[in-house]
Amino acid sequence: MDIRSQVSMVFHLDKCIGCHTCSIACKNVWTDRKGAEYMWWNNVETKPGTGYPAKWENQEEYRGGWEKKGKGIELKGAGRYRGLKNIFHNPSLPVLDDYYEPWTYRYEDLFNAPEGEDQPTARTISLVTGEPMEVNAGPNWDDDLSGSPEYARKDPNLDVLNETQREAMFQVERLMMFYLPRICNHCLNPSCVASCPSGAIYKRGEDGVVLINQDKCRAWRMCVTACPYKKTYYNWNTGKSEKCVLCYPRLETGQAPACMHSCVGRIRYLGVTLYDADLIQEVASCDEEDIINKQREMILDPFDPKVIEAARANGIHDSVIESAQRSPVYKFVKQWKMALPLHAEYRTLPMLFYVPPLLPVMGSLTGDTYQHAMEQFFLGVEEMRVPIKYLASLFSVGNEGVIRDVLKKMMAIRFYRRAVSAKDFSMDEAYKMLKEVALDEESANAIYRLTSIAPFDERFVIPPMHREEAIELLRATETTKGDAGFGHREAPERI
Amino acid sequence: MKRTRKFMLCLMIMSFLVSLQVKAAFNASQTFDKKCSSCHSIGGGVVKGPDLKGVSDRRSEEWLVRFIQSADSMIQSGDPEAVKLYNEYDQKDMPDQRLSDSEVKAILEFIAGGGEQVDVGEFKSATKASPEDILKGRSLFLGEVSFAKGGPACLSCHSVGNYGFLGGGTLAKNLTHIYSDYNDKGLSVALSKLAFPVMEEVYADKSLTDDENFQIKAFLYSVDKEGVEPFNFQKKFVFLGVGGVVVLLGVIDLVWRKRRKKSVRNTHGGIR
Repeated sequence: MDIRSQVSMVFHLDKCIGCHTCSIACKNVWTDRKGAEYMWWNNVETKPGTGYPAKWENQEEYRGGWEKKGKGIELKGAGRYRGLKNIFHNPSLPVLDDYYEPWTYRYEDLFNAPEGEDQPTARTISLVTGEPMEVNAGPNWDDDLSGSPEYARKDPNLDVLNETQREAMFQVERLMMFYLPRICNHCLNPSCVASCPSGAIYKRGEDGVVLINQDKCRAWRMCVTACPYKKTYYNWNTGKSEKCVLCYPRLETGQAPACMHSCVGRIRYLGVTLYDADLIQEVASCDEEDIINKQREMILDPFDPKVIEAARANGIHDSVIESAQRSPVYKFVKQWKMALPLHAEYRTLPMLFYVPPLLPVMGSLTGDTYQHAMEQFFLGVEEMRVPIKYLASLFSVGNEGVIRDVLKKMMAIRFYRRAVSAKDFSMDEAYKMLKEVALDEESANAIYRLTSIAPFDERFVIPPMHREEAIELLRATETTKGDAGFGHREAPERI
Repeated sequence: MKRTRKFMLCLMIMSFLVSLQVKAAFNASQTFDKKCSSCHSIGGGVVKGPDLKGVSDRRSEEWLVRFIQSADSMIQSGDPEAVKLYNEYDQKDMPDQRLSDSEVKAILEFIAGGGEQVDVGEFKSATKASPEDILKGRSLFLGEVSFAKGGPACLSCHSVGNYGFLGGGTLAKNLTHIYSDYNDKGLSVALSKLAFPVMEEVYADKSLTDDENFQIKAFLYSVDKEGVEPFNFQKKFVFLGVGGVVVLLGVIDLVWRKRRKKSVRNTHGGIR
């Protein structure tokens, strides 16, 4: 057992309202710089939709992630030999058109325009060329199903559905959408790290945050190809690649990452999990249908004395273990089995988990009345507008049973809480439903609390980072004793 | 022009190398033997170039010094006497000699004094060469077999007939008709001395053995007799270059056939 700690996340899609506050918070903190304007370390996509960059899930196009070769796995679009072959021209890179050309407005036009018949307008200016441009794409161009035939119908996940199912999805009675906020997954088996020819990308030992060393990056852009989630971006101004840093400077000072802190719907949870690093290879290369379960098994019980002992032996601080015991991620992923990784078939073992959304039920036409609500507001999972198969393609490598279990659990808790607080549902029925999904009352209440009314400290259980210990591994800190205080930052220039 | 410039550069490098060597006392007799006797005799009749007996009476000393140091540039500059001589002797080039004015004058004195005929000995005529000799000569010329003393293969610099990849070396003279240019004996002497400006340095302590000398001569004789003109690759290179680029692009297209050729989103925002 090689126990390590990983700061991981849960996004509760049932609560996401698609407001993009997270994206803006991230943009303002991190990517509001020249060359980084097109980057959205955090973005929110409408599903079904093509996402950002367009059709990022189509790995035949972008060749990201790992693929199974014999007993092991290989990078799909990079790696030792393929990387060497393509090192001077990486042929699967997304181009700016696949993202979008970033723009701003020439606001001074509003003040300087000569007097005329019309209102002055601020001209659109490209942030790449500085020239006026026509805007015809953006990072959330297909937001809220806008341009549905153009975008929603080209969602790569629809490939798993047959023609009838696909058509049914776009009938007005079944039309549905949900939001998918995405950041770097800080994977346990990151393909970006594996692909980098310069060795510039690394996974931080103490918290598992994946970072790109800006001094070592040599702009090969293999990581851009290799990341199946397209969450590393190339900065054309600095000539280095960049990615989500999980706001590590904020984490180190006990604050939640900017995107999570600002989340209006409070859909985001962050906490440390303990996992067994010895299992990474085995889990990453197991059969597709086992990935979801095996990845869950990798995450260890922080209350188990054996785990605690092994964690201590591996240098994990008691305070981190204690933090892992309170981790909302542990609860959602392992204890309640409600949160699932996004596209686990890429085999990177992503450590950002999603609670799938409970979507509206099918509408029906009775006489002249079109109605959503049937005899009960919430109906069976099968009556949901979204085909389970579609959700399974996103969150459970095609396993519909896993999705059904989660949705049923959520449904049961809703009915139970409705019976408790609104009292318009029979308690006996509610108990029966809980029993069906193997939840006791205590767990149901705990899930309800964490889902709906959990305060900041329960949603973000940030472990102490112990940078003071981590830095001592790299530097002799005592040599800089006395260096702080007043003085010259640079030696004065003498002639 | 280009050739002369290249040649001048070669000359400069060579003269620099020579200047590094310790200058031995100048010996007019030996120098004549080494540098001149392949083509010239003193009272022995025309070999390849004119008989030099009484040459000082025929031309002025100044003219002779200039001609010996660089016959080529004098012919180029259109000196009437030089041009006349050049045409008279079948337009055969006389190599430029790296000799100072005083050295040339010493040689001229040596010639005026009648010279001592150095007996160059008898050489087996190439007409008597067996097919094996010719084959051996061919191997030596093409560098398939090394010279005993390690001299570089002739083909490195020279071309001959249609031998060698892409027409052989292009640094020095084409040797297809060298056998008729020199006579049989002259070629043997030339091969034994190799007293040409660049070769002199290259083969300084790597002279050919008598057998090699004969085999090379035999090979050159056979080539001369066959009379196959070398193929002019110079013009072909353009086509080779263009063809090569096309082939290379084809290979690149094939190796990277799975590359992304189009973005998913086109410039008008539409999705493929």
